[in-house]
Amino acid sequence: MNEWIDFAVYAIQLIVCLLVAARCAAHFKAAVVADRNPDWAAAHPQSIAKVESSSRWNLLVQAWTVFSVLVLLAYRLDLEPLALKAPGVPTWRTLLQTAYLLLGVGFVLFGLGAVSFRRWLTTNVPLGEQRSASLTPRSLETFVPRGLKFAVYGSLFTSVVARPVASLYYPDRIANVQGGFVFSLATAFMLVLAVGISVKRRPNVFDRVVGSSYRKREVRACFVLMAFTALGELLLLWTEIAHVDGSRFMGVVFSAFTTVVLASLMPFPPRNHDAATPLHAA
Amino acid sequence: MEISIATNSPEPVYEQIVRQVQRGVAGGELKPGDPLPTVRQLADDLQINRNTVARAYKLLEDRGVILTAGRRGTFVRDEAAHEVHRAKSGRAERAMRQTINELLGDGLSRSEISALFKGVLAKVKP
Repeated sequence: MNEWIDFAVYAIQLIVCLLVAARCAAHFKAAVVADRNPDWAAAHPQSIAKVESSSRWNLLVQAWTVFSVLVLLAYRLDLEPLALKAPGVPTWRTLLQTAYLLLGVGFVLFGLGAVSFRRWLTTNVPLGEQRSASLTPRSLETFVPRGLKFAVYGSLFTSVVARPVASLYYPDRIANVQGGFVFSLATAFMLVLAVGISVKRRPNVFDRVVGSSYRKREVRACFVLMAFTALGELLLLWTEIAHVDGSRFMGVVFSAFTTVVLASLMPFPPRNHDAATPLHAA
Repeated sequence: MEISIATNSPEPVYEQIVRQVQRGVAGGELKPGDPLPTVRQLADDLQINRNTVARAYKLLEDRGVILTAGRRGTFVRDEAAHEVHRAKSGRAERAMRQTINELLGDGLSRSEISALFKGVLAKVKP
């Protein structure tokens, strides 16, 4: 496989998960204020305009994305400084590890921006006096069929325990048993937690703009990622047992897949978006 | 079904919830056996204290409108519509009894009061 493919997949992942996500989130700042208190938003148009024009964090995340892509390009072209060269490590592995390191830092920047905006919101915008909610209970079964739920949870559990169990039968072929187990367990825990949060969370601005189907999309995306993670872990284990190095292929496919799933969760507001419309529970 | 609350209303929030659930039952939007959200979900969605929702649910349960079935959740009771209707009738009867007593105290006869009620009822638009 050409290493330009590795570069392209990781670069697109960085652009979608950081640059596009930041631009998408910036579109909703005024709507988030209006959701919290439509009366306050209508009475403070100057504050809303200031919030909309404020783009410090957005620019920082975009700059980080551009920097990250340039770093990946430098690694791909072997133009990295001598001090950063890792002798004996193939370029595809360097690209994979560097991309995830840069993505992690980008997520931290993104998160700091979100926390900063949230702090401004709770400090300056009082909670609206008119609020509404649905009397329909939300449960996981509302969004995912029971059979599918058990199938995905079952495959995730299997993928977590598969490595330690396989190491008992193939002790000479399975490497990094403890590390792999902890990583799988942590990933599974985060995905299960994400499902729980998606189901339980309060209706937000995305539910209002996209409709009640947004939460369903969110929960199902988590399930798709769980199923894919389980399948990927089992495939990786199989390649190790079969003495085939599949980590490069799995890394690229996993990155491409998660990018597509995350991109499907990014709603863009309609052109005539009315920020002052009150939130309807979804 | 959607419910709305106004935290600046003189009517307490728990009573707003009770009133709207009862109206939903009376109007057929909430049918017997329909599940209601958990106290936690409703309190989080309305961004109010959980005790407020718990108090509203307790009141609805005492009035025979809903049934809390442990971990299975909270449901609209089979007799909820009847209970809501009975409560409404009870309130109406109390109000009418008070008015009739006041009118009798003012010296009006039973036949005059009856004629007045019929006349007013005929004029009130549905």
